[in-house]
Amino acid sequence: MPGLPAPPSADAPPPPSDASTIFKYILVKLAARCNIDCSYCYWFRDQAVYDMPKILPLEVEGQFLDKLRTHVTTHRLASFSVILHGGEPLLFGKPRLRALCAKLTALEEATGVEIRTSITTNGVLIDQEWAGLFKQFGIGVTLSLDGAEEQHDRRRVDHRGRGTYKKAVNALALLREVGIEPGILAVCDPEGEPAELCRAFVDTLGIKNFDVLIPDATHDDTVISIERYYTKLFDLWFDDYSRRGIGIRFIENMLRGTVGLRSTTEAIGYGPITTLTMLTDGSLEPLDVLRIAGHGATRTHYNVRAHQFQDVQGDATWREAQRSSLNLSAICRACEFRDACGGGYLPWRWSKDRRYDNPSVYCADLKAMFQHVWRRVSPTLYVQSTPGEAAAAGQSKGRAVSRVAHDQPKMHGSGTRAH
Amino acid sequence: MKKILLGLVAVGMSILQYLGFFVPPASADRAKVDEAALRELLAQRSGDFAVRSDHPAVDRLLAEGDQLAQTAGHDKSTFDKDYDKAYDRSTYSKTYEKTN
Repeated sequence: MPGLPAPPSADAPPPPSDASTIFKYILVKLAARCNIDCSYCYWFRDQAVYDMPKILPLEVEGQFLDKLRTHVTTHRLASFSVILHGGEPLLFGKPRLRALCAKLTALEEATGVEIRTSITTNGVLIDQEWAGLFKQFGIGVTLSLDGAEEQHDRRRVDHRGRGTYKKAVNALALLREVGIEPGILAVCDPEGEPAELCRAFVDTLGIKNFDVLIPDATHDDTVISIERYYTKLFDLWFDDYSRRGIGIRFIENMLRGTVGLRSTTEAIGYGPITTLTMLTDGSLEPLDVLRIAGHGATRTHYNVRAHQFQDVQGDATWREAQRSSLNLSAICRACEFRDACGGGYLPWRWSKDRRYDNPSVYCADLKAMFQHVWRRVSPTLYVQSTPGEAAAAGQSKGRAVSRVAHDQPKMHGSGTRAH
Repeated sequence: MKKILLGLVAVGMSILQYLGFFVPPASADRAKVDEAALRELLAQRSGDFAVRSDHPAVDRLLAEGDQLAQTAGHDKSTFDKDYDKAYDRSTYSKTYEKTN
């Protein structure tokens, strides 16, 4: 890894046992290549992906299924999630996917463990047969879509530079025809208008739940501020879309952290990285987005050909990612939004010089965003007493005990993530 | 005379509050809940108080949060169990000490 500081030594102490976790899901890379060429894609920033088999070989698939069976039975899991990913996972092809899903179903029946399967796709290849296949096997679908046609086609183009919006929207329609309402993932265009994106999703396409991801970047990149975009997006949601039942995952998770609840995504909020990724050559790695660090920085010495899923937790690279997700930089530890933010997404903390020992590359923006959320939300908060408490206080019908004094210093964001 | 008038206003407010018609703003004559206290209330989750919001979506999230905590307490096979372990106070302190 030229130009990088030394990775942690292989004999570094393992993480505290009570911070380790039994994997409950795996990201399976069915294809290492993609049929489109998005301007912001993290995957191909690491040239090492070109050394991988283009699609998951049958022999590796067999090894994966063997290890999956061992994993779910050894750890007596009630359910396990398999997230099919890429590159573009549909490059795997229909016959292979149908066969894989049949094997997963057989495994489910043999073990009694519920296998939840989902797929993340750009939608370009989806036709009626694909949609029917997803329906047949109960596969949850997440579709990448970046807003209105002009917004989408500016960045999500094929290898000839042609926009992919029409095909993605066609995929949405085909999925709906078979009764699948896909999750929608957009990537924020910091210079774009969130109002346009919301109008396109909600008013034009009738989407009720979506996420707007922050563009992946490290401290070695030049980033554009995201504060303006997300504070506007928050206001749109808070003042209008939330009242119409629309969910925007990142916004709701910022809010959850601000009022002391757990985040439900690894993209924001304090918590361990628990993602396990399997590449097309069978390699087991931590969170795939860490590949943004480049130079094969996510490489471990573990492979489903020879190892069980849990074994990867013995690898120094995996341990570094897991430990880094729990051990924040000094700046983060002193921050008023430490728990609500959690240093942001782990890949955003990477730098060649200090590895993960940094606040997020978006730190100033995130802080301003959390301050904005708190300014908007805190005046709406009040503390309600239970009947028992009210009676003790001599207020048998007391409702709101008090408004929160929101002119005081901000809270740390999470009472549950105690410190 | 002024004292009597103020007393009558206070009694009137108390009656309205008792009947559930009137929610007074935080003021010096009521126990003010500052943010440190709010943090403690959020941490307790199942204590004698619940943090609520006038904003329907925020209030729904606060309610869902409580449900998550209850699930974690009752179903030890769920994701929440591991999540809670990772957020355990001792773990958090341990990992911080290691860094420092």
